[in-house]
Amino acid sequence: MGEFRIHGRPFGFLQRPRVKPGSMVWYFKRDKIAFTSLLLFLIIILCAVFAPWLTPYPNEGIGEPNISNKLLPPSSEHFFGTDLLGRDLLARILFGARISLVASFSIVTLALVIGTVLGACAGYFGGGVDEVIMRITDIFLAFPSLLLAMVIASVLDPSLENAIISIGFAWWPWYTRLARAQAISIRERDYVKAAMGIGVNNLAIVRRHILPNLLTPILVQGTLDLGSAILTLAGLSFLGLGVPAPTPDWGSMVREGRLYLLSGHWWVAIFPGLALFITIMVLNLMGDGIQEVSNPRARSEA
Amino acid sequence: MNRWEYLIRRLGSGVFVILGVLLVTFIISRVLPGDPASLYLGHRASAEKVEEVREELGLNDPMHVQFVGYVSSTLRGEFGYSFFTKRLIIEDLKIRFPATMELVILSMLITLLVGVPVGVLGAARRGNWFDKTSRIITISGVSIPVFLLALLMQLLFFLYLDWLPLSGRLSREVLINHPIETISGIYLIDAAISGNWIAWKDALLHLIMPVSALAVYPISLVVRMTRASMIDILSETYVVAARASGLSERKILFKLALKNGIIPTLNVMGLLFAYSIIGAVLIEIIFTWPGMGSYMTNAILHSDIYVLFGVTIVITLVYIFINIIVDFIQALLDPRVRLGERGEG
Amino acid sequence: MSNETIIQIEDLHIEFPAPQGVVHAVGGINLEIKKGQIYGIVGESGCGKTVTGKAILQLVPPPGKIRGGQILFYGEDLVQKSEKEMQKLRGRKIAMVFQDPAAALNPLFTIGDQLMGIMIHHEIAEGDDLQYRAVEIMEDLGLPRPKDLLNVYPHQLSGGMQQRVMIAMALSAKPDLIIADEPTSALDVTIQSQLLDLLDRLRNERGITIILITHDLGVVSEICDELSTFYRGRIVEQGSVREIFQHTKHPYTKGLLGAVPNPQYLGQELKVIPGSVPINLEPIQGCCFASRCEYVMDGCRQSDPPFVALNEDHLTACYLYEEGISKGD
Repeated sequence: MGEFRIHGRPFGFLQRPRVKPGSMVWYFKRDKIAFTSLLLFLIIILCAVFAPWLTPYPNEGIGEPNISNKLLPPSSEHFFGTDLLGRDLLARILFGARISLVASFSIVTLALVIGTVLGACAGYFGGGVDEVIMRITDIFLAFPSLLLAMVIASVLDPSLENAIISIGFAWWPWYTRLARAQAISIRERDYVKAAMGIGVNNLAIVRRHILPNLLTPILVQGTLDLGSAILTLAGLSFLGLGVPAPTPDWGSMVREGRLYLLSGHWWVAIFPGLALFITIMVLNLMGDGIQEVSNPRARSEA
Repeated sequence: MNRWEYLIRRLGSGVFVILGVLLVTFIISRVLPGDPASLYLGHRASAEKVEEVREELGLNDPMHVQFVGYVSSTLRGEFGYSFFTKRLIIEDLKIRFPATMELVILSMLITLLVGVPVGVLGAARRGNWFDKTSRIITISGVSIPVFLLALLMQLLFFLYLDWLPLSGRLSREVLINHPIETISGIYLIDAAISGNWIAWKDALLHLIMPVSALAVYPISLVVRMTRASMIDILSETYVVAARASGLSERKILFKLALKNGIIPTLNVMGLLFAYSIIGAVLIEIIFTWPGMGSYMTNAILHSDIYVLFGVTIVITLVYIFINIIVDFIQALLDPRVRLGERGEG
Repeated sequence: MSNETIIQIEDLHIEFPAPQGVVHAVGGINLEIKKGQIYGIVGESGCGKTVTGKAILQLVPPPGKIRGGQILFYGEDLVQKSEKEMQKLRGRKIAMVFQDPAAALNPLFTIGDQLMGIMIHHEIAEGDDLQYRAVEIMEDLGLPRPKDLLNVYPHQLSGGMQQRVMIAMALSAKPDLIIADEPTSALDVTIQSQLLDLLDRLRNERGITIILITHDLGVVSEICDELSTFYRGRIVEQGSVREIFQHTKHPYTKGLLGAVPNPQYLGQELKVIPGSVPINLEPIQGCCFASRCEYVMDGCRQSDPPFVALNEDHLTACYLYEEGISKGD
């Protein structure tokens, strides 16, 4: 009998979360919940984009008061009723969709960009750069994020941009941590070492090799955070730190409407609140779907 | 390293972070426009009076001296005066801190006691319809803004059903006739200790809505996380190995897998604690609860910056402390965290 | 090696429902293992060998299910047994050893906890006796300072030691049969060799039957007595190791052997089996290997070649050898 020894090749391969566009389309077609949420999301986007044409009261939507109609209950002329300044609530909600979508996207983008750049640098360069960046990150992480956003928002003038900046600045540390962990694992990969060996300039390596591979899980995390971004913004607005009147922001609308809740005019606060709920839920469901695709939990055995 | 060394290390880095936090708040406070002294005294104050107060507050000293003073006075609890209530902030906090903690601690307790078992059971039973409904329910719980939930509860339980009181910690009648002796500041505890059961019941009724509203998000999150992590664990090789050695499914679930599964949940408890404190801000406004949250929002409205910073620092310190405890518990459970290098082979 | 049959599998079918359809992981296999043998189950990944091993313990991972056939353990059909009955057998009569020892040990519990936990469950010992026995088993497997190891956590050990601990756990209830699922794949060569020696010793000293599931023919040649080659959920060749290695018949087995680097053929190109393993979404038409076989004939695609005995030690399912006559060698 001959000697047939072969090196055993280890079976384990890294299970990185990986989103394949093809599998995502397939999954969303299959899972009814994910599909419905995608549909609803598109409807919300359409509402936001076509808001001025979807309502007979576009001016009231933006903020023009119509005091004669103040506090009317839901009816066939005003499906959701009117608010304290007589503005049609449905119109306000439609326009508010714009604010919410734009804001959440901007917040996530801001936090993501700052966080990823810092984290990638920290992870890739290591050493002193890493220490400094991570120490700063740790300190920022020590603050509960909404608290930090509140503090920042309170020292800035209330406006949409400042609200976005406040929350973005409170959130970047999480992306930094994520990006750093990814950067570190990617840096150790053979193709990166090969590039370093040849002598490719550091920045080029970061740009060409590290960032593309890094981005996938970070983008997944970003889409998951969209819902939370709206939630946080709503919280800030409810406290009065967000978007100022007359801009139709759902959180502020709940805040204004609260005063009339117990006197029987429940619609002023509840409908914007429901708009928030549904939008956040749709975003979360979609994010959940994306997560299922990239991190399949049902593992098939060989 | 063993668990105690880990704790000490953790405390050490905690101290470092606290100093960093204080530095950041210090810088922000000095960078702000507006002079604290004149803000305190109001517009009418004369320039001399303002200068006097400035000297008193040490605002003319060099920055590093100020910072040292800032740190030492903060750590002693001397946060200064509130411009609005005109009282020592620390005095205000003595009432407000326990009020908020009552909400937060109760909601965290409910979260653990309800959320974890439900999550575990959810992982053990995986029928298709069960999966789908629990997914929708938990995502709803995570998506609903806490203030909407609170308002809906007020509408339902107060306005329409009249089962629960609208706001506040105690009803007027109890406040006057059966006042609670202040021991810890947490009414449920104090009333129980002094045997004041009428007040205890009243306090409980007032707590139901705020605590429930506050707990919905954490419970949903914990159920999702526990379930997800348990499902992952149940397909791990060591669980298959345990099954292959004949252990019963129940033993595996509750003895082995649970210990593994709780860890990510614990990790998130720190964050949830922070969430609860912030959520408490919103809840306190809606239920007119005299806690730190409403104190803080008031401060923001009236530019009462010392209060703002005082509360921020207190909350952050508590948050850091909770994180240290959570890390420590995790180190207790998971030997991989605390033991540094691998042992010899 | 006695003549008593310890495991007999008859016409076993295992299916996995998948989004795209039903995957036939195992499509009707038959094999017989005698007590005291070291039996090899060989094939590439995805061929159904691992799931067959798990099926013996009735641990086919959901959503997979056994859809037909029998697995007889000392004559009793395990497929018919209830979960409670299986729990009594698992660990106690039949034990399993896994590919990745680090993953098979619970990271949060000490070695002692895990080892003694099994013994407590099967009521092998109690009280002080527990520790004593645990130490005894570990000593027997060559683990250094077993008393200290009881309080150590898995991640503190090297790969080789983890492997031994895992085997200690499998042995703790003194099973008659050990199913070893790719035990050598995650190890380096020197440890592999130690492990194989260990398995051989266990069989010789304690009479434990071992089923060795592997893709590595080298390992099979080292210690196995008989083997079955699996391909796409079917057995294509079966018999004693000597017979099969010296007179390989089935094209697939030939391909596997041909792909092994052999210093004798230095400088020559490595023979590779073209193509890759397809997934079984529908029941296979004809011979399972037809799509990649270099000797394929028309008849191969029409119907499934019968399992033919070439001699008492050697069976194969290939049209080349119909009626025991070789049509090409």
